[in-house]
Amino acid sequence: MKKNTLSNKDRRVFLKSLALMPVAGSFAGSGEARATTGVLAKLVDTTKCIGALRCKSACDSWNRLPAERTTELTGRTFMVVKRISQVRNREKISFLKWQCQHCQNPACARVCPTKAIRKFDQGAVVIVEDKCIACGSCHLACPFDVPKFDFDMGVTRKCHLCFNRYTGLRYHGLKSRTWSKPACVGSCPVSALDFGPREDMIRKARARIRDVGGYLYGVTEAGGTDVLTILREEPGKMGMVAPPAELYYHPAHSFMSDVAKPLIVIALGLSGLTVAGMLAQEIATSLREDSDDDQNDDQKKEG
Amino acid sequence: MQDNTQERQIHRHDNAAIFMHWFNTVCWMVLFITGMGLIFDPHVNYLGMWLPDFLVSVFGSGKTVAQIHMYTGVGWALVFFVFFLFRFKMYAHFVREVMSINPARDFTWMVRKNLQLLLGKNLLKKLGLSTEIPPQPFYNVGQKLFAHQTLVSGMLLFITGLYMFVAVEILANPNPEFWVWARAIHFLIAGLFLAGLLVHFYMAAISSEERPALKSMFTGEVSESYAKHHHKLWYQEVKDETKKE
Ligand code: SF4
Ligand code: SF4
Repeated sequence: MKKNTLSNKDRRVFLKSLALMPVAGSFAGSGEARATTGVLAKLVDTTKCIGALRCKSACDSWNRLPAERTTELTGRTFMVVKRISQVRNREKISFLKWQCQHCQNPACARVCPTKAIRKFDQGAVVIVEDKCIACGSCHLACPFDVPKFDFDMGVTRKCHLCFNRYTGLRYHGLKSRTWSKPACVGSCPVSALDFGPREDMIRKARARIRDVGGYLYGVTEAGGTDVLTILREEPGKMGMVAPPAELYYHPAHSFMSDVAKPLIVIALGLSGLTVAGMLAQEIATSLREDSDDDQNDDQKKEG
Repeated sequence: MQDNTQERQIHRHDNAAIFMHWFNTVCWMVLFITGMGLIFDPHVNYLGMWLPDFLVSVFGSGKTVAQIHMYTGVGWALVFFVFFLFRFKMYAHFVREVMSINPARDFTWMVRKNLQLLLGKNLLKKLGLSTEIPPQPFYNVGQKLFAHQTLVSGMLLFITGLYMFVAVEILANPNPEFWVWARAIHFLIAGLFLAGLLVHFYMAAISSEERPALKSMFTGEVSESYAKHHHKLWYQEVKDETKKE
């Protein structure tokens, strides 16, 4: 499984190549916005959430989504609020605001055949929708089962951490510099949401956990995510399936890297050796014909 | 073989076959380059990331590269099927020839020919080994094995490729579970096929012994001595036929 995790070096190369990607389509305009504050993260506090769903309305209106009434993500619902309860105490309900977790090392981006998914320096993982061919590879790669098809637009869509509210880049013709936070964050009536440098968010969350207890989801899950969630208890005890700390890949993806690639490399090596052998023989033969009487040379070639 | 020009020439390839061969060459090169340009995962792309990065900087987005790849593939398949319908005889002949296998003769050929190619005739003689090579029909065993790989790979690439094309371009809501497997198989078959093509390319374009075969891929003809030396059984067949007439 080790192989499936990008090493730090690989990750840097990978991010570098993402940064080289020309900004096109939806992002037309202002070019690269440099992160001044480093990685920004969203903090979701389920110990405070009262399930008011204001965040959902804010998300739907900022992204002009049709406000579907659902508790499952779809291509036109970027976030949902789920009811979860402790396994030990079914009566104790908490509300979980759920969306793309904006992985630090996003599996979805790695498998995309058109490089339509991009991880911003500020943390957001964004699908550049006009580069998406709707193949669904990212749906299967995501450890949180987040990306979904928008069947009307024929592309995959998901939460983009409202990057167009603070990076100066455009999304569906919409951008703004007036806001510094995702739409959902400011809308919460009980301040269960927060947004800022990831380190600060972790510090705040730990302080909160010292007071009320709980578990900070997103520090190690799927290799670390830029959405952090305070749960009342460990994910297992909240009836959630915890994703592995190491990245999981769909068997077809593992097949490509762990089976198909080595097989191809071996086959190419064998045929390359054959060709090299024949070429050496061909050259030796032609040299021998050129200098037929030069016995020394001849013997050297054969030796 | 020096007096190629004066020697009697024997017809070996139809114009249709020659066209199809070069059409395949061009299409498969485009398909291979754009195909490898769509593997953005550094753990999977065995050629390294320079190719996808380069293609994205030329075409602006991976989607364009994907579309070039898909439409070239579909275009190739269409032309192929038109030929298949109108030149059925040519394909029937091809399949009959590549399926004619004689285990004893073919095995000896494989061993001796490969030894000869790798060690050279002189060394074989010195080692006291025979340099006799069993006579071959229209295709020799190496060509046949490559033809088998081409047939199987072509079919699998066509099936998986067409599925992926229809799924994303026409249906727009594929079953991702099928799609990722189709892609994985497509990738494996294409990579193995490349390994076969490498040998084919060497034999045809670089090896001096096979130079007449390369020429025949343009003119359609080979010299009598080449035919006699490399495809004796076929040569005799042709002779018998001309005698009958
Ligand atoms: S569905 Fe779109 S974004 Fe997801 S992997 Fe396929 S092309 Fe990339
Ligand atoms: S949660 Fe899923 S969709 Fe979001 S960044 Fe991680 S892998 Fe991608």
